[in-house]
Amino acid sequence: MARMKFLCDAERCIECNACVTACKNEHEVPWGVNRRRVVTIQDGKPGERSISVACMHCSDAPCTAVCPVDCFYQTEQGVVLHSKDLCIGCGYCFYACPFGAPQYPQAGNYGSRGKMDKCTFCAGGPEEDMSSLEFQKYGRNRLAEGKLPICAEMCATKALLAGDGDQVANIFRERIVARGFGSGAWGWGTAYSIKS
Amino acid sequence: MIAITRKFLVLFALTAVVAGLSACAEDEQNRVLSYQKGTYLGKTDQQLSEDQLRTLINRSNAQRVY
Repeated sequence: MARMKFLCDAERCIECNACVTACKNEHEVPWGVNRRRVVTIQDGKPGERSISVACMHCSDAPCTAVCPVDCFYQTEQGVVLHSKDLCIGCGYCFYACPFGAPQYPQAGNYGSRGKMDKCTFCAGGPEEDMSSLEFQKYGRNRLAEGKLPICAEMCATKALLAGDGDQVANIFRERIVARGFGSGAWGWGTAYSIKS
Repeated sequence: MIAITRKFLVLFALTAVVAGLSACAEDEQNRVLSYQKGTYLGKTDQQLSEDQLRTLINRSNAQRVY
């Protein structure tokens, strides 16, 4: 199996924010923390585009590189996860992340923000799969249930794709061929390109 | 009297040091106390089984139909 990846098709996203709502509901994410959000550029003007943004589970994740306590790890499927037991809430990962994915439960300075929270690709965390402790700390583990992330599964226009990277790329390629224009998948190069 | 007090203080200090050091035992703290640069030392995550992976691949492929 290839690595798990997200892909947001900006041509299809209608800024309904259903992915944001579904994520918050599925994982019971607290107030003030948004694991996923929809960003709109050129709002109200010609060329308006919306994209759904969360942790892209980068191949060479900058958050992992800067973490002073090494609380990040990657699963065999390439999902970037972290341990809230190790996190000290320093905020370095937030500054390093090109997608602004890391979130904190409190506003504050170094170490007073609380444990970092981010999209887990609905893969839970380093606790026993589908346990109450895992749900409490990291949210639901849908991958262990054989399901893809809720944001992608419930996207009405299928703008947000998630899953096996090869298949996601193939689906997007077919769409591009059918449309006959454009090929840029937003964030794909930043997250998954090999860095020299 | 002073000598007895001094002995008592030394004994107390030693007890405090021993108690303090024993509190650093990793298993008693129930958290990671050691650090190796660049190495994740937290709990290990469970791997997905072949069946789970097969289901996920099928589900990924199902996104094509929309």
